[in-house]
Order: sequence, then structure tokens, then C-alpha cells
Amino acid sequence: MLTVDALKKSFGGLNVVDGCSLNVERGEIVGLIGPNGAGKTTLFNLVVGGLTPDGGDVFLNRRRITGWPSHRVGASGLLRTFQIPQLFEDLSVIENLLVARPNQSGERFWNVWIRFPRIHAEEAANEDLAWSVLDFLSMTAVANDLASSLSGGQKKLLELGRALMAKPLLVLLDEPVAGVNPVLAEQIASRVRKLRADGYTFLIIEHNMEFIMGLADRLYVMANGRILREGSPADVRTDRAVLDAYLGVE
Amino acid sequence: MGSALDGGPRLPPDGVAETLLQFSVSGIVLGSMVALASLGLTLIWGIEGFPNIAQGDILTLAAYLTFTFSAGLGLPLGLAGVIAIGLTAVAVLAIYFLAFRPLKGAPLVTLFVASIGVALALRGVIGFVWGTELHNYPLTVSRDVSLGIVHINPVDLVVVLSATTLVAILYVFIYKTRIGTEMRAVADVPQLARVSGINSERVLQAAWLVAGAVTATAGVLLGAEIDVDPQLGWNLLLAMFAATTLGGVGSLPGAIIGAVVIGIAMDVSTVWISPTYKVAVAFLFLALVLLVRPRGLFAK
Amino acid sequence: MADYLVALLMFGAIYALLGLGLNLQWGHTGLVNLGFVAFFAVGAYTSALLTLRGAPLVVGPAVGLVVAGLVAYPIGRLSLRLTDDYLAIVSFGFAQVVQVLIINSDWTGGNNGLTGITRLFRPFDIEVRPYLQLGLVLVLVVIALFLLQRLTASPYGRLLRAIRDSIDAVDSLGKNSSNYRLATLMIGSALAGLAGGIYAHYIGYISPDQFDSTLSFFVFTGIVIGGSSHWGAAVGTLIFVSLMESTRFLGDFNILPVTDSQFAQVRLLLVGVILILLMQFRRQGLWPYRYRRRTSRGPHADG
Repeated sequence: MLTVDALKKSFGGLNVVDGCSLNVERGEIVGLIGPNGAGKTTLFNLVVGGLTPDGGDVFLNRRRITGWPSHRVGASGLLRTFQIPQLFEDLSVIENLLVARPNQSGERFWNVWIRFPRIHAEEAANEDLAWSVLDFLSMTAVANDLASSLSGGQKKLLELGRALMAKPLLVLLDEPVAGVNPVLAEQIASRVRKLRADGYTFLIIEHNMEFIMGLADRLYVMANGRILREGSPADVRTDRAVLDAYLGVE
Repeated sequence: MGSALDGGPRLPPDGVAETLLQFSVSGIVLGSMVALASLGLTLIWGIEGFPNIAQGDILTLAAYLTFTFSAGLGLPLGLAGVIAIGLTAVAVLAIYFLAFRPLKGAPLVTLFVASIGVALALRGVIGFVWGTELHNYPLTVSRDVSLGIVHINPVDLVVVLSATTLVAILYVFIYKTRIGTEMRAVADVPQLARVSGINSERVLQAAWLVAGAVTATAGVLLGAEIDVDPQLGWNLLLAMFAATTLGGVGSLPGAIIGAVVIGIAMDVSTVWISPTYKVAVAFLFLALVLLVRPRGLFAK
Repeated sequence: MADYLVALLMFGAIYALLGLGLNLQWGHTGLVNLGFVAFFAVGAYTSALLTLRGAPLVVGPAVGLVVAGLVAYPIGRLSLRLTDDYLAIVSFGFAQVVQVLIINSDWTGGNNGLTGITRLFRPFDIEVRPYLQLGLVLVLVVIALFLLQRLTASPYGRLLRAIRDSIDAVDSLGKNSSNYRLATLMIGSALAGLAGGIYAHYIGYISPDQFDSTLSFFVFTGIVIGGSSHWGAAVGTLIFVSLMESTRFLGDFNILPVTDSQFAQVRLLLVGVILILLMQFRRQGLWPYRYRRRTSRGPHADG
């Protein structure tokens, strides 16, 4: 589904991403791990449109999306969450979800004045969907609260929910459990598993080893701008080169 | 007064090359003042993340203080200037404590709006205390000095030399002292800086103080070139922003180069168009940079 | 006294229109348009110039509205692909350039401005005219309130507020925030242009110093105080700007031992301090926009 082909990016002479390739198939949970400074975040931004690559390509379902701006990437079905949650703080929790729904007639300027019935119907349908997502996240009680009033962990969950509302082909999670307590981390993990069972696909960057090892089908290990190893958690966990990369940085 | 902002040098030179060169010289004078002001702007923009609209009025404050200490209290101009720089820098630090530090963690737009408030408040205070008539430093009018084919006024020479000296001092401070290095760390990688134990509050205070001092110096010099009125610094804002954008936000060398380029462009343009349109030239540069290379020449 | 009040209300209502336009940009979409007054000026001068050359009075402000909106397009295209800081700077620079252009062009009347502009409701009795004018502007304000309320209560409005809160998040969801921000810039500026047109025909003469950049900041402070709801923005601007402008006359009464010019400086100081305090303590203003509470699923109330 997602193919990254020899992506390159340098900053001032430093090859931050030095020819990385990876692959995510439908229904997989793939993890991207590596020591600090390996270039994971840069690689991530190259894929989702925050940065333009100096070389290489990105394909989504065989469609070339290299260098696309972030809104085009999002519209093509590649959704991402943010490491520091970027919620709509002054909107309510449920409004955060409603905004995410694509192709809303009510978001077209001219429709606002004339297409009331259609907008009403869409809103009703979207609200139904939003409620079921809130149910899934166990957040129905806070539906009408301001997003700014949520706890850190709830914000991360809401980000996930928002990505779901956007009809994703693939969801990129950027450190979904950074700074999150173990109980909540497990809640997030179990929800990701449930979603995968429903057919969703995930690519996850994460530092929390326990979390990612227990969740991912496959892992890519990145160090010094390159993909060092690819394999199942069991393989990667005991790989010499991987251990060296992590220990070397410390 | 062969003022760089009003109408360019007084002596009409002959020949196109001489004319362009002469205006380039006055452009460099203008550029050096804009450079100092832009350094202050880009320093704070890089570390705090927002453009401080009050920069213009900080310039004005320094100029007025210089005027008061020299014309009002009879101190020698150089001493008056130094005192003004010191006082203004302290004032800027106070502004940081009163207006910006309480907003730590707020969205950058909020900080930006607060800086608008600071700008207006500062202008109001200046206008109230000093009135709105024009003032001038007690400078004796001196004859232009000849440097080869161009003429330059001794005051202009002092301006450029002072600016260059300050830039050199700033360079040593930013690159050779520990606090300067910490400042660069906080500007470049805030998270890492925090983790490596840098006391970011102390660094921020230092940054504001330094930015205040550099900007104040620009203000002191500006008052030597142009009549001092409450709009003095405000009128320079567009040039400062154009210079900072051209050079790349957060880049110190970029601010200097950008400012000199803009200064020369603004003055040389008066060969062909009326001096009142100088601000349009600055705007044009800004527009061009945003169209072609929005991150600027030396963006991080 | 009645005349004075009517005039005050008249100005207040025109400022309220300005406030509504800027509030759509700032309060709802998070755009910092520091050059807002330039669009007010564009509307005023467009309307004045057209009617001075023989166009019917109705056409003037309408064209002023359109021209102001169109002028916002290049400004927006230039700066909206980047962060908000740049819109503020570009719009700020634009306003300065506009003022320079007006002052230095003959056809705009230069520093002296334009006089003899067609007055509103000219055929009517002079006694009745002020009330008709006030009525007209109040009707316009009500219409604007209604239309804006409709716009912002819709999913379109919700998306604008989302953009205000996080441009990056909106883009990541596949929606092009730049387009919406550009549209808002144009609509708000068009409203300012309309206000400008009405203003020109109300006063009868316009000159560059009526469109000072401090007016941008006054209107801005007004909407920040009033809050992001349309009512709040309109009322906040009406009261605040009227207060600021009308205190020009307080000097006549010698209430304080300061001169007119000093009083103007105190006004600036006051505005500045208010803005700083508001940002620290009540960022959302007195009457922020309230979102609608959603009932749980089941038979739907209003969708």
C-alpha cells in the first residue's frame, strides 16, 4: 500500500535521510524505530508532506505522492497524528471529530446558503459516526467538553479518533504513547489492534519498546539516516547491529 | 543633513556610476542601522518564535533618551548614547517580564498581539513624555569628507563604524561566550537544550537584554541621521521585516546581509523614483522574497 | 444633543461593520490582518471616485466592496502559504504602501483628499437625513450579522475555527487551509470596503489621515475585547472605537490637565495596555463564540 523508495534529504551537507526504503502492506501494523537523531521524524515528514525530498519517491497504492503538500497527502487517504497533539483546542471534542470528515457539502461556501437539507442530512450522519468513534474511544462522556480540557492521554486518543473519521487508507502514528502512562498506552495498543482487525493499516514511529514490540507485525530499524534492519520484533530484538546502533548513541 | 532615510546625499554627483555609487554608500549607512535593528528582531524571533512588533518603538525610545541626555542634560553625545542603550536594554527586559513572560506557552499569535500592545503603549508613553514635535541631537553640521569618488558625512561614517563594531562585539558574544552558545542552542533545538540542563529562563533574559541593547544602538544611531519623532522607529519596521525575511528568520548573518541589500536598494531606487516611495521598495523586496524563496537566504 | 448621539451611533455602526469583517478574519480564522484599514480606504476612495465621476450613489459602495475584496486576493496569495506572521507583515506593509500611493497621487486628491462627495439620501429633508442614514447602516449591520452567523454556524464556519486552532491539523486531514484563509481574507476585506464606501458618502470628504494605521489597531482591540461572537465583535468595536474617537472631544471640556495631543498619546497607551492585559487574562474576549452542544444519538433534534 505504502512504498517508500530510496528517500533522501540533506540539511546543510548532512544526509539526515540517506536513501531509505520501506513498505507497508494493507492490514499490517509496521513500526519504525531507531535511536534519537536517526532521522525518523524527518523521514516521516518527507512522507506526509511537511518536507520535500531531495531524492527518492513515495507511492500510495502505486500512486506517486512524492513531494505532495500535506493537504493533498491527507486527501489521498494517508492520515497522520502528531507527536504533540494538534487538536482544535477551542472546539468541543465531538466537533474535533466532525471537522475531520471529508467531502462535507457544508464546507463549500455556496452550499452554506442554499443546500440546507443536504447539509443537515450529512451532519446527522456524521454525528452518528462521531458518536460511535467516541464510544470506541470510551470518551462519550466528554463529547461536548472543550478539547483543551482533556488530559494528555485523552488528547492522544482523540487524535486517533480524528484520523479514523477522515476515512484513512493508512494511518501514520507519530509517537502515539510518548509521555503516556502504561495503562493508557495499553488502551491505545488494544484499540490499534482492534482497528487492524477491522482492516485499518498503521505505520507507527515509537520509542517505547514495550509498546511497539508488542504491537507491530514488522519493524524497520533506522540509524544514521539509513534503514538498518527489517524484520519481526523477535528478529530485531536480538539483532547485533540493532543493539550496537542503540548502544552506540548512548 | 545628508540623511539616509529622507532624500539621500545632498551633493548631486555627476555621471551614472558615481551617482549609483554615492547612493549605494548612503544605502550602506541606512543598511547598517536597519541591520542592527533587524538583528534584534531576528534574535528574538529565532528564540521566542514570534516577530516583536515593538521593535520599532524600542528604536524610538533609545533615540529620545539620547536626545534628552545630550540636548536636555548637556552630556556629550557619545555618553548620552551609551546611557540610552543601557536604559533601553533594561526597559526591554522589563517589558519581557511584564508582557511576554506571563504568556509562556501561549500560542505565538497571542505573543504577537501582545507585542502590538507593547508597541502602542510604548509609543503612547513616548508621545506623552516628549510630545510630538521634532527633535534633533545637538550635532554640529559638518562638511562631507571625500573618499575617492564618493562623499561621505562624518556622522554617516561614525554610524557605519559603530554598527560594524557592535556587530563584531555581538559575534564574539554569540559564538565565543558560554551564554551565547546556550542562546544558539535554545534557538536551534529547544527540546535538546532543555534536556542538556541549560537554564532556558536565564538564556531568554539574556536574549532579550542583548536584543534590546542591539536595537537600542540602532535607535541611537538613527536619531543622529533623522529627526526624532514618535514615528521614528515605526517607519523602519517594514524595512526591518523585509531584511529579516530576506536573510532568513533566526539567521544573524542573514539579517545583516538582508539589511544592507534592502538599504542599498531603497536608496539607489531614489535615482529613478521619488524618495517617498522608498517604503514601497522595501515592500516590493518583501513580496519578492516571499514569492521566490520564502525561507530567506540563510534559513535554518 | 440628539444630533451628537445620532452621529456617534452612526460612526459606531460603521466601526461595527469593520469589527465584523476583522472578526471573521481574526476571531474565526485566526488571520492577523494588520493592514485592515487599507481596505476601508480602498472602499472609500473607490466609491468616492466613482460617484464623483457621475456613477449613481448605489453603485459606489457596492463597487467599493468588490474592489476591496479583490485587492485582498494578491495579498493573501502572497502570504497565506506561510505562517500567520507573514500575513501580518505583508498586510502591514501593504497598508503603508497604499497610504503612500494615495498621498502621492493626484487623482486621489493627494494629501488634501477628495471633497464634495455625494451625500447619502440627498433628496430628503435635512432634518430626516441623519435618521435615514443611521437606519441604513444599522440595517446593513443587521444583515451582515445575519449572514455571518449563518456562515459560521455551518460546517464551513467550524472548519474556519479549526483552522484558527491548528492549520497543520486541518491540512493533515486533507483540507486545503490556504483556500479557506484566502476566502476569509477577501470576505472580511470586502466588508471593510463596504464600510468605507458608506463612510465616504456619510462624511462627504475623505483624506489620507482619516485612514491612519491606528484605526486598524483600534478595531483590532475592539474585537479582542468584544470576543469572537459576531455580536460581541460588533458591540465591542462600536463601544471601544467610539470611545477612542470621541475622547478627542473631551479635551474641550478640560476634564484632565492635559492637552489634546497628550490625550491622544494616553489613548494609545491605554489601547496598548488593554491588549497586553487581554492576552494575559481574557484572550477570548467578553463574548466568545459559543459552539453548539450535540445531543447523543437517537432521534435527532436539529442536525
